[in-house]
Amino acid sequence: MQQSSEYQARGYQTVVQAISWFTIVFLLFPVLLTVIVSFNASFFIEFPPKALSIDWYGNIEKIHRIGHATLISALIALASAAVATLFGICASLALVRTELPAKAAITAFLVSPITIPMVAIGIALVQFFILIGTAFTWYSLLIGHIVLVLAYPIRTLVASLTLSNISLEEAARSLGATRRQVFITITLPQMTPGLISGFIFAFLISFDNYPISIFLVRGGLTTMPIELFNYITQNLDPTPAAFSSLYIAIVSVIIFFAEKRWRIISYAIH
Amino acid sequence: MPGLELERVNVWLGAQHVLKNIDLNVAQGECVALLGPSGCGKTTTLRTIAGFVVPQEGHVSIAGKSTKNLPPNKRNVGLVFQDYALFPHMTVSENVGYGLRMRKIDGSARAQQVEQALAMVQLLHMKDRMPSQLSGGQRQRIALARALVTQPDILLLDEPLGALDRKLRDQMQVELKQLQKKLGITTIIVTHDQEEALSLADRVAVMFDGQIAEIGKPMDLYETPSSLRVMEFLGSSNTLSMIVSYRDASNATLSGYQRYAIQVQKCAFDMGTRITAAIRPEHIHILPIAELATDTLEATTVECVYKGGLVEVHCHLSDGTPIKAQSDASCVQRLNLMQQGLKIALRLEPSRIQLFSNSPNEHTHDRT
Amino acid sequence: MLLTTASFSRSPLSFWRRYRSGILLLTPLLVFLLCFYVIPLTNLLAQSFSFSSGDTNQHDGWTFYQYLKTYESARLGRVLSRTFRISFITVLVTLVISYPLALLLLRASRRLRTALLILTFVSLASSLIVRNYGWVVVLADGGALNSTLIGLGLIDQPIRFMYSEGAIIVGLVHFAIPFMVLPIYGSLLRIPTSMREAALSLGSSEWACLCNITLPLSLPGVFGGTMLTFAVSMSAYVTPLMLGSPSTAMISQVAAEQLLVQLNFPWGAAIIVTLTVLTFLLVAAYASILRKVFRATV
Repeated sequence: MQQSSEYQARGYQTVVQAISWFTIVFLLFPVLLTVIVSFNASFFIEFPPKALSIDWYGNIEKIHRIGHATLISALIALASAAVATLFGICASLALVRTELPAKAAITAFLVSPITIPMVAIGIALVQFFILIGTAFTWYSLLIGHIVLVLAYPIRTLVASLTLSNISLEEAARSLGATRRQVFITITLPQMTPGLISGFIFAFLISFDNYPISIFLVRGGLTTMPIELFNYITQNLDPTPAAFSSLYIAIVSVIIFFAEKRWRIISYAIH
Repeated sequence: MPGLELERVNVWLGAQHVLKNIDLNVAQGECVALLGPSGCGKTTTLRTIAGFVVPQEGHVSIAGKSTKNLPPNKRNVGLVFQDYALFPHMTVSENVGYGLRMRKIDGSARAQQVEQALAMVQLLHMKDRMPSQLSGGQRQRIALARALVTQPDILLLDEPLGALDRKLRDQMQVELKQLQKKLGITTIIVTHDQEEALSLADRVAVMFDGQIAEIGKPMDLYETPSSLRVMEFLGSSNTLSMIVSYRDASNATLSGYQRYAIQVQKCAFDMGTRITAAIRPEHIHILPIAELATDTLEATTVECVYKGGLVEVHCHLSDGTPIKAQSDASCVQRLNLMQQGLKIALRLEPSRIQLFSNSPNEHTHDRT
Repeated sequence: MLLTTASFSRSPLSFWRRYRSGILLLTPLLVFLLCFYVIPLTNLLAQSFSFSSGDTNQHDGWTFYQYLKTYESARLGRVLSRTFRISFITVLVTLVISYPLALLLLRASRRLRTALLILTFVSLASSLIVRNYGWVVVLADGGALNSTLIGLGLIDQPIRFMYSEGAIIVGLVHFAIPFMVLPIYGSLLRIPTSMREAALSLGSSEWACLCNITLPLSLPGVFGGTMLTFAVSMSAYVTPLMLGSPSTAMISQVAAEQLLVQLNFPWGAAIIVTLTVLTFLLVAAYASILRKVFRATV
């Protein structure tokens, strides 16, 4: 078969490719190494591993209350992503489909939590909760996470709605559908990519969060990143590597399928 | 020295054989249009000349110089894109001056040449504007000025008038042609609009499926095309299945519809051959049914479409073959052609009937 | 979909009619944010204007004491400049290695592009703790980098990479790459391919085209990416905590220390407020400079 006939400038392409592949390797490198180290038989983190074993995977449960913490993280992430997405639906409908004064200002306000240092939000919230007496409860943790992730579904849903076609809704109305029917059968399906990608981002960012959680938890309430971090600072063995490998594997699978099915990536780029 | 030469150019894009043995010779200062339906390879040909596509076989030379291994930025070509591709973050003068800047022409020399180019398209007063502030027609002229200011060996235009509205398009056609002639620059125009091709070019190359089907002067291509496909692509035509019922040294008779028999002068086909006869609507005269004779066809009106100066008369023959004829408003009124189902007589101008072979292979055809 | 009659009267009733649906949709969200975002942060802000129990010359009411303390503290000055330095280097390095990747994505085949984007997203989605731990594995004394260097015979003893500014920068760059690549790629997608071809046909080399055409036109993405990277670096907490040491502390760590350990809420609050305001001002200045230099819409 004939080779590609598009014009390529040799020197330029070489440099671009060289740096790009370096970046890609740089991204992959720690992940790969973590996986390799997780199979290392020896106690210390060493590379290359002299012997292989899967013992460390069995040791995962030794991470203090990791099962309990992961469950809490998952539930909080699920709930905060769900609430944030619901809020996001309302916000995006308001911003894209209705009239509002000072839309740019409102949008900037709604998205602003991203730009405030997480430590500030965490500390402000714990003080506030202490003030009203609900500190260190699961619902105050949930509220903190909702504030944290709110901006993501709003952004993706606004993008999704902006790209969607309003004439479809108008056509449905002219065919006799009520507003509610139009919303359920036309608008919502068009928002699906934004919904899915917003939900997934919110979930992942909530699940992963440390700076806000650390201030809002105490005692029985704890999250996965906190327990993982504690273990890492107190122990030298590669158990966290095993846990990390599992975590990355699961996340990769989720993202892979989400992209295949819903093409979330294109909606996050807008 | 020829302006442009393409010799046995072959291009594969992926697995697709996009350009098949393209041979093209353009004289210096000549304007050639590449005309064809979408996917025929005309844009790929243009991009090959510009250097964005490297042919796997064959070669291209511009102004006598071979372009082998010459990247696009080293070829002295002026390219005008369909979307004009004006740099939105630069002013009009910076846009026009970009090519000069790349050739290290700076300072007052650059400013002067930019002004000359802008004056040539009558947009000198816009030199400090941004492209977003210009209208479509103005952007097109700036794109032209930008391409021409570097005095390229060849000018390449990709659907130059496609985005303009009717009136502007007509006006720009005239301006473009005048400019091209004045500068004497070899020009290649890619278009799917036959009217554009016929009015702008010295010669038109009709392309189908990656090959040049025919190349010639606009009038020759329109009046006496070498293949039915070309004829049907350029303007409207009516096709009739006929038989050569008589043939001698100088004349031939065609028949095939009831008692209709018409004598034509140039016929390359033997007696008894089934052929396809084609004729353009403007060469069909409409007569009242009372004048039906052996050299006229009987037809029934279906619809009249008013087009301003002319009227398209749609009718069909007794066997259902659709015919499109052209007439003027007074004739339509006189013969009451607006009435549906009216029987009329059609007289085809014998000298305008084009004869083509029935076989799918287009190479056996009548050509004078 | 939701029809409104345009009314130019300024009466409250017509205001309500016009914006009713929008306001109703937003109200629950705005109330939520008011309670759990605006008020807590305002409370924190208010605290920064008061005294803590260990301060000298106390009195009731407002004071700028904490901010003066912030301004005068030598240690804080060092921490601040270190934070700024680290952030600045991070942004630069991330930009330099991310832009070519975005360019590659542009010209890549669909399969490669999807694979790379998935990789970028997985990187984004992996827990920060997990990712930084990966760097611990690489940079530790017995880790991959040292082992490789020793194995190649370049060094005898392991180099202490961990617990340094360099390690923090590596971790931050790794974190920031997706935040930089995706907006830049999005911006590059919007540039019509005819732009590059026009530039080339006019005599530009690919490099000149990159500098004169592609870069200015991709500036919105570059700005978005660098701003996000800068903001994230300035407020970084977990990465310096895991990869650095007390001598490489960044501002968020100092603030957290004051608030959690020293329980000096007013000063901690003042430090955080200073960080936020400073970051905001720097980003605003950055935006206006970009706008002027490149005449781009950013």
